[in-house]
Amino acid sequence: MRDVLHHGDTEARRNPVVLAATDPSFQRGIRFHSDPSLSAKSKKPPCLRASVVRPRKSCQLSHESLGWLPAIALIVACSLVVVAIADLAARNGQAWAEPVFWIGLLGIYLPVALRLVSPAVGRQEGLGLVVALGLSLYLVKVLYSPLVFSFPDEFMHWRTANDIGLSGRLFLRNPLLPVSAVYPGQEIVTSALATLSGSSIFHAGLVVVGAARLLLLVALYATYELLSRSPRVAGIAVVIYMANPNYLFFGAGFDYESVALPAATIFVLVLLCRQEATGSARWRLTAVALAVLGLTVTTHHLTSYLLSGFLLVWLLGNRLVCRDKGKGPGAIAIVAPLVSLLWLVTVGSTVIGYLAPHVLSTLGELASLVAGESGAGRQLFQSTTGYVAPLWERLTAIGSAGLVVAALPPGLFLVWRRYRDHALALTLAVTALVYPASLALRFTGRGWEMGNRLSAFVFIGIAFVAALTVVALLQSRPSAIRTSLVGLSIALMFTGGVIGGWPPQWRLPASHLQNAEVARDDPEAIAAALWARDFLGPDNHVAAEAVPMAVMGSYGRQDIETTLSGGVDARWIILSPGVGQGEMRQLRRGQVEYIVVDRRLGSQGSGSSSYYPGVPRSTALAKFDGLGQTSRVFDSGNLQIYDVRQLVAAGEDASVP
Amino acid sequence: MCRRSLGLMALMTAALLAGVATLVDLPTGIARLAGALALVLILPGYSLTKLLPVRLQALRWARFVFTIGLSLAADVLGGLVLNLTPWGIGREGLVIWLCSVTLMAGGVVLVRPQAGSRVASPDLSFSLRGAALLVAATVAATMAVALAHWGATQVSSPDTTQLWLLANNQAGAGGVRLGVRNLETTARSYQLAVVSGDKVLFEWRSITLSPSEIWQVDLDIPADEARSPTVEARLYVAHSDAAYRHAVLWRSLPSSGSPPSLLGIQRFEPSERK
Repeated sequence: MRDVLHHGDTEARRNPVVLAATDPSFQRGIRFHSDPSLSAKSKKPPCLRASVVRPRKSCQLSHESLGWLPAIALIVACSLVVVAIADLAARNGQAWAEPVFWIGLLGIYLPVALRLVSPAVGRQEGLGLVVALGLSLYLVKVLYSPLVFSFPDEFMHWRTANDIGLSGRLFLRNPLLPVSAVYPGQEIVTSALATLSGSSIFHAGLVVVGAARLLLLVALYATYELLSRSPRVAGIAVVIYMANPNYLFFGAGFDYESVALPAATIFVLVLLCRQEATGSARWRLTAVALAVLGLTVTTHHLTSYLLSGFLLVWLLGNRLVCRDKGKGPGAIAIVAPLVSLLWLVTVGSTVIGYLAPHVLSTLGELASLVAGESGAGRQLFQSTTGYVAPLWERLTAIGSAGLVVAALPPGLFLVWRRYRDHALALTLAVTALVYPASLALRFTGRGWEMGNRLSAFVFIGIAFVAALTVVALLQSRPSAIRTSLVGLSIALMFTGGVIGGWPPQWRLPASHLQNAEVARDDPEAIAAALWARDFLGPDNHVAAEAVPMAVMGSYGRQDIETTLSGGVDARWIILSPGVGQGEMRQLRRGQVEYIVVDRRLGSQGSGSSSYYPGVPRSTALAKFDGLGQTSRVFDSGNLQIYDVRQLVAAGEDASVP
Repeated sequence: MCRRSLGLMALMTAALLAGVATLVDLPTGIARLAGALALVLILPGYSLTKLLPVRLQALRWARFVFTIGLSLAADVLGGLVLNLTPWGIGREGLVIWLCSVTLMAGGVVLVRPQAGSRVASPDLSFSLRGAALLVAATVAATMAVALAHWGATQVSSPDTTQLWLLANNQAGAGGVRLGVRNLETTARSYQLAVVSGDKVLFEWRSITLSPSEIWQVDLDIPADEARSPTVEARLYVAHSDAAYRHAVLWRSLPSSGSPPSLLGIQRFEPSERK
């Protein structure tokens, strides 16, 4: 395989990647650069080399063409209109919405992927394409729900941001997701923007997450470029990163990871810049690193732990493998885990009770799977409600994972060959190796989500390794057909990622009349929640399920019953055929005051059958109207609110007539 | 005054103006929005970026990454600090914090001896055709957002009517609050009856509500008048004998000897409700 880093004189001249420094305190004239001499035949040390350069004359730097960027931006924007049409059709229940959605989505991704694999792309054009693609993919999520948040986790973080805005205090109890209140970084920023601008939490959140998305892409691009010294590798790597299963929807949601991951990426970038710096410049970059570390640690628990692990591997790699021990993350790699631990112990201790059950049950399932126990594991491409993905989706998702796996060995070989003296590159390679393990988690029921969430982190390594493979493949025998095939393969990775990472019923906005289970922007439920806030007052103990639970806990500001907050699982009460001693115990334990019933869910309520097998949902919901001491205080047609305070106070065992 | 100092002075002035725009309730919200965006996402980080090594500042990506990233970090640090104060995280506190960070960083850069020389980033060349294409792309993206917004708005109306029946303890032991809200797209006429057992206690033959309008009544229904432990509210719409909405209130009240009475009716838009 020919050298991946050979770009020729032309590209090196066009794309000077100056890192850091004619500032006297920042080492004299050091830069990372595309060096045509870095070929496979080169015997020079393969680690990032610094060389003293003279600043280029301004005329050499003054102009750089945007190339095809404007034309491709127009194609991408028109594809966004196609996605908007698909969303509109989906809201009206049109069956053709889905194919149109895919056409629009590929219209956004494919032109950029095809252009970025081309050798003619300049640095500014490449970065511009990455930004245009990133913004457009973020807009796909915005188009999905342009009026209110609609993903389950978004309501949880909305509650925290709203609590901060209303009370001016942090760490207030959030019954929907208690751990969100103790990692309030993103919500502080959002509530600050909402407070100062007078806008809603929703609009402020869209801006904050959008800015964070751009930040992530630019920081990744810069990191890959500094590491590989190749804008081409950087551009391709970022496009491959966007193929991770969590990128399009979950990662774009109002979720703490949306801000913490960009912050962690910036942190790595700062350390990369810092390792070349000396004197006061190094101190200044250390201060920046600590500020960004603080942002990461206070925003998301898992990101800060994974970042800590990443830094320790980086430090270890630097000490064990690299010849230049001075070029590494240094002592700050120790500081990061300590700060994360300090926050965990002093503020975020609830995270242990939150994460531990997930991790333990996943490990248990994995062990059962390995032991070959019957019933262990999860059927791929099949949801808990019995939905089976169509054949084309299954093939695409498998093909996508296969392409990623196939791209790893050559890329890992190239990393070892070219960058084995650079600990960060080795750390990225190690990160990429986690991918097969994360795939294994998809075979478990509880670990599926964990494996899916890991993809946003693991793809940071995969993107770099796979991009090296792609560039090497294209340079070994350049041809238009090969370039096109590679571009199409990357688009296949992206398509499979979307399929594998997000349930089909959540890719397009659902009509709440047709799919009340997922239509969390359901106006009737939101109106009921606002009524509860205004007429019942906030902080009542409310038991609900699905959409009403999310909106009552957020917009309604109710103290919703969730197992996460130590409450009861409301479905054991709502879905039971009657109210006997067991249900009364649940009501008393949760100090339930009100129960919200959504009759649209009918038999489609997710997981309904696992609570009381054989009990029709409609029968279960009808029991409340026959219960003594239970007032039906609110009725909006599909939703009813029952006041069970008298029932609980009386302590009588009621049964269905 | 050199160009660099002028730039810093402009930055610090911008921070002060943004602070004023967010604190003063101007007739238009655009200035406040712009001020908030600048204060929360740009100015503190941009000011802090000026403290970075000059060559790093010269890189376009570095300016972007560190401006936004350090602004976010400043916001979070400000939140944590303000949370410790008696005033909490309020508008004034946030403005003071973010302006202070911007001004202090700018001040340090002003008094600090300038190290190194600035290296220019490559300029982007825009052809007329390229600029036109970019403008067209922006227009198309805006159209997509507008279309999605319109589509979502079409289904955002609940198209429903809410009925509620609550105990109103402020009006005495027999106090009941009954309300109807029309959340449908057009004005609707309703019939409403309050019954206990088989006895109709109150009845309204025609209540017409425009979209979003609320009709609410406070009643006093002593236990003597009730034929059952429950009071029910049944809402009907034209051309239907079946109850459109139905609410039930369980009560356990002592006898009082007084007849049921209507205490007052209110009609209001949701925004008028205190």
